[in-house]
This record gives sequence, C-alpha cells and structure tokens, in this order.
Amino acid sequence: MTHKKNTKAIKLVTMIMLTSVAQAQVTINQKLTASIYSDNKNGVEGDDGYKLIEERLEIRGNGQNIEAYARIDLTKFIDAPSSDYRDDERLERLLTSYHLGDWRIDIGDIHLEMGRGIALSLKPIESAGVDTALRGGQMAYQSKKIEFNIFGGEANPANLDTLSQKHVVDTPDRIIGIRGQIQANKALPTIGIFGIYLKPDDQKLNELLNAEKEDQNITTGITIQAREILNTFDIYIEGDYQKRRLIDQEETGKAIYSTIDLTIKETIILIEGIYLNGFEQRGSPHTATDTRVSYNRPPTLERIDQEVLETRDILGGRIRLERPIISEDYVGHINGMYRIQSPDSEEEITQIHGYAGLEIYLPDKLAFSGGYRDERYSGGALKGEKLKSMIHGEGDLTVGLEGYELHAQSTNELRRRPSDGDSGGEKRYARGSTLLGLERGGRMGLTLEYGYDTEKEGVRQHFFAGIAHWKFLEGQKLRLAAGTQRGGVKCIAGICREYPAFAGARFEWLGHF
Amino acid sequence: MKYTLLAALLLSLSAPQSRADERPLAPEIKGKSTQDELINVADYKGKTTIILFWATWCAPCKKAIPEFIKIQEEIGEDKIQIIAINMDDAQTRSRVKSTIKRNKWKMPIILDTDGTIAKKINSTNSAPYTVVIDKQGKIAYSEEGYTSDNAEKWAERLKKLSTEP
Repeated sequence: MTHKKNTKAIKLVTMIMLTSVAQAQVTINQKLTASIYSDNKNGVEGDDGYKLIEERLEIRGNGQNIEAYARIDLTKFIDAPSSDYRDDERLERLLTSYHLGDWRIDIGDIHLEMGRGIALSLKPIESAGVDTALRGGQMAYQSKKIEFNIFGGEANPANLDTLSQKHVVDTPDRIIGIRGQIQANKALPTIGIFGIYLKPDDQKLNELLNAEKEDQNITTGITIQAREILNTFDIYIEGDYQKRRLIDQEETGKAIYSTIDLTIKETIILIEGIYLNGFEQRGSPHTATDTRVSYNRPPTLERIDQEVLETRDILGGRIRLERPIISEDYVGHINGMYRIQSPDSEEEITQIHGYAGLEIYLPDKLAFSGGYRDERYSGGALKGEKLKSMIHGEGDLTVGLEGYELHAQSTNELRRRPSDGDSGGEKRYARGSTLLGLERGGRMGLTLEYGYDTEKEGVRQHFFAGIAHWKFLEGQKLRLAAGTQRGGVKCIAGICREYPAFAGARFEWLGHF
Repeated sequence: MKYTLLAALLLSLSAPQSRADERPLAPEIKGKSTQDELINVADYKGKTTIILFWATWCAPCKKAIPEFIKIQEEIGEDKIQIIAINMDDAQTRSRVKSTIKRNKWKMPIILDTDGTIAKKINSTNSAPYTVVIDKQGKIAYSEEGYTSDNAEKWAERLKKLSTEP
C-alpha cells in the first residue's frame, strides 16, 4: 500500500516537473524492438515460438537547476508460451532532481553504489539483465572536501527480464542509507563511512514459522583511499560489518577488501585482496530467476567475462603485472588469482586462474591472451576432486581499411568437468564464439557471428548469426540480427546468468530526438 | 494508452527545441575523479567540452581517446577540454588507474560509479560514447561508437564549435 502511495506521489511530481521543464529543453530517446523467437533447440520446453514487441521511450527535460526524467516501457507478446511472459505498459522510471550549488535533491528512481559495491550496488547492467533502482528520495551534498548523502526508498526492478523476457514482479524491499566522505587536505587520505538498512518486502517464511520479528539487515562500512604514497603507489581499503536478522536468528557478516596500485619504472602492478565472511545483501525473491535479489556486487578478482561462484564467503587475492615489451606499442601482462570459496567448510572450493596476454598498437590493435583456470573441492568428503577446469584463448584485432574498419574477435574455452552420473569419467567440451565485423564510419556495419557449445548432447551445438546496423539519419539507427546465438551461463561484471539460446530475428529502431 | 498520449504531448512540446540552433542545455555532470577531486563540467563553460565515456574493457575507447587528444592539441587546449567518464564497475575498477597510467592520459577522469552520469547523457549506456558540450553549456553532439575514419569528422565539428561565440 505504501509502495503504491509513494509511486503515485512520485509520478505526480515527475509529471508536473517534466511538463514544466518541457517548455525549456526536452530530449527523447526511443527504442522499438520487434523479435521473433523460433525454436532455439536448447532442450527446454516453453521458451520458443513467440513474438515480442517492446517499446522503450525515455523523456528527459532539464532547466537551469532542475532535471526530470521518465521512462515508459511497453511490452506486447504474440503467442506467449506461458503466463511468465506478460503484456505490460508502465512508467518504469521517474526522476526529478533539483540542484543548487553543492546541494542536490532527487525524488524518484535513483541508482547508488557504496564503496566498491560490497555493501550496496544498484547500478544497472542491462546486458546482464540487472536493472533495479531505488524508488524514493535522496539528499546529497558534494563539495571538494566533503560529501554526504542520505537516501531511502523501495527497490524498483525493471519489470521485463531482458534475458529471459519473463515478467518480473515488483519487490519493494525497503532500503535506507547514509554516507559521508571527507578529505581534509590533499595530502591526507579520503575517509568515508556509511550505513545501510535493508528490510525485504517478502517475509512469508518469517510468517510461516511464526517469527516474532521481521527479517532485516543493517550494514556499516568504512573506506580509506590514499594516493601517490611515496610517489609510487595508491591504496584503497574497505571494511564492512553487518548484522542480519533471519527468522529471529541473529547473524553477522564481515568484509575486507583492498587494492594497491604500484608503479615501478615502466611496470604497473595491481594487487587485490578480498575476504568476505557470511556477507550478503539479499532481498525478496526475483520471479524471473527464482533466486533472492542480491543488492550487492563485490569485486570478484576475475576478468569481466569469467564465471564466479557465490560471493558470500570468499578469501582470495590476485596480482597483475603489466609492462611494455620491446617498445611502448607492445604491452604485455600476466595475471594470477587464488580464491577460496566457503573457506573451512565442507563445501570449500579452491580456484586458481593464471593468464597472460599481449596488446599491440601499431596503430591498429591486436590483442591476444590465454590462460588456465582450475576449480576443485578443497574441503569435505570431495576434497581434491575437480569441479571444472579450462584452457582459454582470446584474440582481438581491429584494422582500419580506408574508410572501413575490420574487427575480428574470438573467445574459445576447452573445458573439463566430471561426467554426469556415477560413471566416474570426465566430460570434455568446448565453447566459444568468433565475430567478424566490417564497419563504415559508424554509419553502417555488418557482423557475422559463429558460436559453439559442445557440452550438451541432443541440442544445437553450432550457432550462426548476422547482425547489421545502419544509421539512416543523424540520431536514427536501425539494427537487424538474425540467426542463432548460443546460450548457457554467461558472466558480465561478476553477474552470471543462464542465457537462453536465441534462434530467430530481432529488429531494432533506436531514435534520438 | 495514457502513456502514449503523454508521449505524444511531450513529443509535440519537444519538437521546436530539436532544431540545431536550439541545442538542449546539458544537465548537471559532476563527480569524483580518479584523483578524488570533484569535477563539475559546468566549471568548463566557455570552452568546448568533449565528454568521453570509456571503460577498461572497451578496445575502441583506447583508440578514440588518443585521437580526441590529438584534435585537442591541434585546436588548442584553451579552446577544447576533454573530460573522460569511466564506466567500469566494481569488478574491473581496479584496472582503471593502471590503464590511465599506461596511456599517460592527463585529462580529468570522472568515475561514474553508480551510472548516474551515463543515465543522463549516454542514451545507450555504451562505450565509447561521445558528447560535445558547446561554450554555452548546451549539448551540440552525442554519438555512440568510434572508428578511425571518424577523426576527420570530429575535427571539423570541433573546429567549427570552437569558433562559435
């Protein structure tokens, strides 16, 4: 009820503001997508044979001290395979901001991140299907030496899961927080503190078990950042502590994270370490993924595209060395990562990942890298047994060709894991993709994509797609993708999701007015 | 239906402002830099300002930024200001400083940690993405992507903008 009231009030304020600033300046972005989902032959029933039309309209207006933003999402399914796929139309995002000098007030859907995302991260990553804002308000002060903000509201996820196309039911979990940061003098480190209160909207389990108090989560943290120490290194340290109440049981969580950037002559060294002990920021269940929404996104010590396991209990570190080889146009790097998942438990897993690469700029770019990653149980009854391993290799080439640009990119993984069932054998499989694209001055381009995944038998293993785009007018772009694209677990920025394989065609019109 | 009507109303309101001679006013773009200094794009009013969205994982960005630096050197640093907006999130942010050091970039670089700046002026939330703000603090151009043959086009646009009053 409160959620609906808040939403109505915010809608009203934003609409008034938008209409008033519309007299001054308005920009409009729209994205119309029409997709045909044919049989993706992934062995899963109920995710094929439908068509989807989506329209996203973003309207932004701003005057001298005021900004207003609204996003309208419309979704229309044809032959929807189940009730998980729903027609929808709604004002998905609303925001009104007023700023005066160093002060700022935001009312509506706001995005936030505390520290390095360990305690709270509400930053949208659409390619990973993550887009949750906090619908409420924020008051912020930001000057050269001091900044602080106080915010509160309810979680407002985008209601179309952009990966599965399933409807996401609102999870108005309450989040309230305060953050302050000070750097008294340029020679001194920047020190920040913050506190966050989270109460999940879903308390069904609590009610079912007749718990006396509602579940909640209180998190506090401190960050220290110092630069150019001895003209050699920068350091960042973050410590977080939380107290959670889950079905009347009190739990605690701890987190420590640090990075050191060190420069020794031409060598740049990055050292990163993390310790998370029972640390989580979970809200209500997410209807499209069947898991609880996670409002934090801690660093994973891994590359952006690597699979990561749980981030609740981990201990690990990584080191990266980077330096020019031969000349400044040839930059080599080596990386080593050691990470223990659920340390000192029956489920303890140790991950080791080493890789190296070379980037060449002459002036076209050629980069390649390769490495080995191993994950095995290091605790409990399965101690020593392999979970999975892989050898990976990547290449990236960009060449300018008189008005055109050729881009080739390839990612390949040779994987091993224990066979399914009790046979005791080992399953070897490969997955990867290669893209070859030709671009003309940003106006038009054609990309051909080949993907493969040999893990599962009896499903499509080879995928071919073509993607074309054409900027037919300034600010107006058409994009057409057709064919098949591989699915499976894909990870972007530490968020791993099961992507459904795609077969069909997708047409997009992106317009900026 | 009500949203469609609202959109139509706003479209009709917006139509006159879309003309080139009535560029939209840039919103407030403000944030902490990699050096932990507060950067406010409004402070560069009077100069043509290039806002470049980039990330450590974005290969074309590493090509685009040096070319914009070259254009800035040609036209003059007193006329053109480059401000880079980094889009890395927690997982890859640890690589931002080494990338800056490796490439010897000297321009102010704002860390858009929560994506607020991207939401305001990077309509596709992509990198590279270039926004050019004229001397009056209005958005003259915004464009997604970058290829090497774009350099000439950008040089022409920026030269023209830098001669505007």
